[in-house]
Parts: sequence; structure tokens; C-alpha cells
Amino acid sequence: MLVPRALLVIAGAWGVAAVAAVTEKRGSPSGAAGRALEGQVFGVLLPFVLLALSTRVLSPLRLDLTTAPLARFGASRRVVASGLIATSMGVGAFVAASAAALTAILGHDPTAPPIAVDALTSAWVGALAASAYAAFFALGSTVGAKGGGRFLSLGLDFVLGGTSGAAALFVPRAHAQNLLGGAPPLMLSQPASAALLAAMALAFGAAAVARCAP
Amino acid sequence: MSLVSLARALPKRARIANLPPLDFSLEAGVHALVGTPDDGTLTIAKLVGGCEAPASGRVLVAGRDPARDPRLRARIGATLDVPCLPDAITVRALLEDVDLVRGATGTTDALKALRLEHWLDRNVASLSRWEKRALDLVLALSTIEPIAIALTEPGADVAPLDQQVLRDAFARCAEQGACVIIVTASMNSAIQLASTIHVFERGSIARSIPVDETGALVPGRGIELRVEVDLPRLLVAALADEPGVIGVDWDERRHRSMLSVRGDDLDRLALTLARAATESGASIRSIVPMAPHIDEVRAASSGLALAAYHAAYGAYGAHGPAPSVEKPADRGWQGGSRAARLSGWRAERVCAACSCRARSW
Repeated sequence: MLVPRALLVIAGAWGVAAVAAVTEKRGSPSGAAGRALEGQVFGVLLPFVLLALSTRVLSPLRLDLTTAPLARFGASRRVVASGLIATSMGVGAFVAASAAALTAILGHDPTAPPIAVDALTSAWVGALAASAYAAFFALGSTVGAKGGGRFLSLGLDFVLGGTSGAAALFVPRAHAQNLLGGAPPLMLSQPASAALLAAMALAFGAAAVARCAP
Repeated sequence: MSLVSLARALPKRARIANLPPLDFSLEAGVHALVGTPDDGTLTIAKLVGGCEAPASGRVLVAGRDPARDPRLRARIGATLDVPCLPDAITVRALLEDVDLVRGATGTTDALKALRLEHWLDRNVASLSRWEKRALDLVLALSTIEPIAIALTEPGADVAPLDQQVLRDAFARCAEQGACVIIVTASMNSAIQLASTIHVFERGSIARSIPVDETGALVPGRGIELRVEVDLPRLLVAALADEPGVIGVDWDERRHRSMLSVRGDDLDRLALTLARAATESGASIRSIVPMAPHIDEVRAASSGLALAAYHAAYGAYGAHGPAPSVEKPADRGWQGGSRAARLSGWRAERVCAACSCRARSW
């Protein structure tokens, strides 16, 4: 259930994204949106915001324990976990898409593509990356007595995603940066990165569900 | 095969909490497992209800693993020490969610049966811990075609419920072939709610006794009645010479109007009390039968086991054929208590002098 604290996190994410875009634009209008998206928004803000939202939706517990209140009455833990992960992905996608679109609009400069196209592109990249992040954090939440593995996921994303080697292929950060115009991991094309993000969302989500008992 | 069977089932994080592996089997009926949290009682409902899988060992309900079988879980009712309820705004919405998961209605009727229908429109967040535990109990009792019901302390730390309705509900479940397990540290709760009492010690059942033979729990202790009376001094004086009374406890300073009266037979003791009250002119306000404390029961169990051990040890080392040592007359021994296990091990040793073998029960 989304409680006021989660709404506060969402509002905070929008606020920080807006401030980042405006600050970049004031510094140098040319390419401000791209810098804000690659740097502050997707580089720092969204992973933390998505982790917080994932923790709110999945509860700060191990994933199979989160499913216990319904599973004890005969629901399959895997079905309940699938629903929770899908909700987490949906909420994350909405927040990331809106924050990315807001950054693109506020940081827009005349040399960039039309504002609507820029906002829309940023939004779908944000939604796709957020889905992959949500699934990655859900998989992490199956590790540890209280699902502390989700912090390990975040750490791996920062450490591996910052490299340009093969390891970067397995975390969402490098692909999101590639889609936003950053350095591609292993010279991967943008469509390939998009496909890998979608595959990650499915694979990590499926792995998280599979790690729950029936 | 037993309906509920735990074989060396070790709950998760049991080693950190120094909990023993659980090892017992139960058939259909209303069973009370009387033990303390150190004996692993708080993990029984979790394991039997399939809320968590054991770290090692095996838990079977009707031959299947509840932690891995959602259909089986739907037929098991369980209440934990901390209520584990689905998220919902109101009690009505919560009950509807549970009905939806079970694919049947019945939770609201169970709430009404316990005269709690006025909770339906209450906010779940506004319920106290006691009320949440009572709601959890209602949900467990509303299980459709139950196979097992495992309840953690249904008589303590819970909003007041009609005990007669609870007893009837348990009996109905047992008649349908379910194994109702009441896990409690209170002998009073066990006597009130169950039909068989099992003394639970370090994960195993040490003794089992039908509820109508609870006097055997502490042999020699007899029946104890706690009496509230307006003129206790006169009643004590009248009871002093009564042959049906074994003992009278009265603490004039701490509980002036309360006294405990012990005797061998409940009916005889009650009649004696009535006669003494009439003769002394004291008026009795309440009479409550007092169950022995769990520590008393354990002490008695250890004493009986020790007596058996000494009897066996007396034979051990003696030349010639070893005399047979009879099991104590007290019912329900399973040799599960620590002292009993110890005595069993010692008595099985072979005499070095003549190779005779002392037998133990």
C-alpha cells in the first residue's frame, strides 16, 4: 500500500529532478537536459528513489515473508510475489518516467529535438530502466533475513554499472546511460541495451518469484 | 500416519534463539501443548501453518508439507504470537480479502459467532494488539474444512472472547477430523479449552494426559479451589476439622478475602466447602478451580522420572536376574522428559560384574 511516506519520496524525486534540470540549464543551456538526466537523475537520484519505493511496496522484509499474510490463507507465495513485483515495477516506471520527462522539459534547449519528443523519449527510457531496477531490487530482497540483499543490488549497480566491461551488461545502470546517449557498455547499440533492460526486468522478476516457496 | 507430524523440525534462526528441534505427532482432537517459549512453542504454529519452512527436519500435515502446498495451507488455521494479517483499511475489507483468497465466504459468520460483528466497520489500524490477535483467531477458526488449527496462546494477550463458544468451535473442528493444537504456557487455558493435555518440554511431548485426569499431572497435589469469601477467618476455622480437606492456604495480609482449599475429590471438596460456609455463616463470592503451574507439573514429572530411575538403578549392579521396573502408575508417559531420557540411558547399561541388564520403562 502506498502510504504518505512513499508519496513524499515521489514528490521529493520530482523536486530534485526539477532542481537538477534548472541548475544545469543555468550553468550552460546547451545539452543541459542530457547532462541532468545522465548525471544527477539516472546516475544518483533514481536508483535511490526506486530502492525506497521497492522497499515500501515489498515491505522491508525478505520477499517470501512479505507474502505470508496472504499465503497463510492458501494463496501461492509466487502469485502474491508476482503481484507485488508487478506493482513495484509499475510504480517505479511511473515515477522514473515522470521525473525523466520533467527533467527533459525543464532542461530543454533549442538545439535539442522538439520538447515533446525529448520528453517522451526520456519517459520511456525512464520507465524501462525503472522496471529493470524494480526487478533487480526484488531479486535482492530475496536475500537476507530482512531482504537486505536489495542494498547489495544497489551496490552492484553502482560498482559494475560504472565500468564499461562485460560485467556492466548485467546491471541496469550502464544500459540506461547508453539509451540516454552516454558511453555504451562493450559498444552495445541502443536497441540492444533497450532489449537487455526489458530482458532484465523479466529475468530478475522471474528469478525473484522462483526464489519464493510455492 | 499422524495428522500433524514434526520430525526434528528446526525453525529458522533456532540456533540463535537456542530453540530445540520440534519432534511430535498428533492425531485429530483438541490438544493443548503446554510449554514455554524456550521449548519452541512459539514456532509450532508458524511451522504447522506453513508460514515458514523449517531450516531442517520435516513438517507434515495430512502427509504433505504446508510450506510448499498452498491448497493445504488453505485448510490450516494458525495464529502466531504476533498477528500476521493482510493489509486492509477496514475489518470488513480484510475479511473480504481473506474470503477472496480462500474462494469461500465464512469469515464474517465466524466474527458474528464470537459476537464481534461490531468490529466490521472499524479501521484495522485502530485495533489494539489484543483485538488483532482476536481477529487472527477468528480467521483461523473460519478455516473451510480444516485439517489442522494451530493456535498460539488463544487464552492470553487477546481481547475477551466467549470461552464456551471457543470450546464449541474447537470441538466442532475436531469432530470434522481436524487436529486442533492449542499452544500455551498456562495450564488453566489448557484445561479450559483442550481435551488432551501434553506437557511440552524442549521440543518434545513429555507426558500426555486426558483433561479429565488432570489430577495426575501432579500426583499427591489433589484438587485446589480458590475461594473468595467475606469472612475468611470463620471459614478457615470451620474447614480445619473437615476430613475432606487436605490443606488450607490463607494469606491474611496479601489476599485477605481469598483462600485456597485442597482436597482429593472435587465434588467432596465442594460439598465440604458448602457445609463449612453454612455452619460458619460466611458467604462465598466465587469458587475457581486452580490448575497446577507448569513448573509444578514439570517438577512432578522430574520427580516421577527420578523415582523410576532410582528403582532401575537399585536393580543395576545387583547380581542375579534384574527385577522388572514398572512404569509409574501415572498415565501418559512417553519417556520424553530429560530426566526420563537420562534414566532410560543409564538403566540400559550392562552390569560389568555379571552382564545382567537392568530394565527400565
